[in-house]
Amino acid sequence: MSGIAVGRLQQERKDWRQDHPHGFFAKPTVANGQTNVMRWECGIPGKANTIFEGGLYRLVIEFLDEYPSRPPRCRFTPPLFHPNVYPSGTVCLSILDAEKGWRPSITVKQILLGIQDLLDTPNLNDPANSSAYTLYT
Amino acid sequence: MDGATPTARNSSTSTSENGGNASSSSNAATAAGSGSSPLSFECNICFETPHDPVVTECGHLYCWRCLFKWMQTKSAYPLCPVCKSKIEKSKVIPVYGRGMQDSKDPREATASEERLPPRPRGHRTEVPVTNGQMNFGGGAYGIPQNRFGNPAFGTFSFTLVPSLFGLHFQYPQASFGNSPDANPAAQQQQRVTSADQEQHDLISKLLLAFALFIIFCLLFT
Repeated sequence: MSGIAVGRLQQERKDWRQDHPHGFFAKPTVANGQTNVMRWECGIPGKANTIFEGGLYRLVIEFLDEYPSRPPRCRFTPPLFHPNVYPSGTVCLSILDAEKGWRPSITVKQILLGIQDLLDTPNLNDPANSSAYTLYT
Repeated sequence: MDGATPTARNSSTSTSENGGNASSSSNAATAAGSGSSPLSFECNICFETPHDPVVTECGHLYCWRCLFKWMQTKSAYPLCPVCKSKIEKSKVIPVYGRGMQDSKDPREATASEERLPPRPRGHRTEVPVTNGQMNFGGGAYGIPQNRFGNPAFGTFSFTLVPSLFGLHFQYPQASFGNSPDANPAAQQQQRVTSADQEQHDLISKLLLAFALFIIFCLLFT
């Protein structure tokens, strides 16, 4: 049931408002005046001293009813050209894979920091975008 | 923010135990979030005060329903959501705070239409009961001691015989316990010490065999 998911996401929101890494933002979307905690808009700043420095990369995180037993789906909007980002914008990351590294204790903050880290250190063992992969290698 | 980010792809170590700067700030956040208490006793899955709290062998706190759901999704090989230690339903330890109801409200279970099994029960180990059987046996087999009047032999019969026939001592006590009042208590005691008794029986048998062997040796030499 979504009982756990909604409560957990409200807690995540509270934690995020109290403390979050500099330059990031993350908030539930608002549609027709109603807050939808199952869909968040986030922004990840590029790390300093990388080619991503100065950029703010927006993404949407969609949580399922099974969250946090199942990981959310993270999608760059607009899609980012990156070896580990599908052409649709969906991020391919082990901690976001239910069969790999996902654990219910991973927070939104950890997800966003993980994706920020992925930007300049792509995982070439698990490419999601072949043209970006061939260009990079 | 450079240097403060956990390396996500090596997910086993980096994000698990909140490595680096990001983590200390997250710890601070949870601590501050819980208000007055410096420690946050929150479920590691729903991040709220645990409902039917349970603790894994690795020491991580969860609501029973949260942990059960997670174990269901990972039914083949469930791992601790925090530290990835292997977890088993039978080894989950329930936490009973003061005034907490052990039994869950059944209406709540039907409301959330979960087929949630009852929380595993706590494992209790009774302090081994030293029941009166040794005194009793000593008394019964103490009779030869008086009859022979030989202190050495008396001591021998007192120490060796009860241990030899400790197995048989259970029967008189059990039969005595058949009186309606004493029976339940006696049976309870029997059940509690059954493991001890098994061991005791085994030792008795071994000693009996050993004693017979010595007697045979004495006879045939």
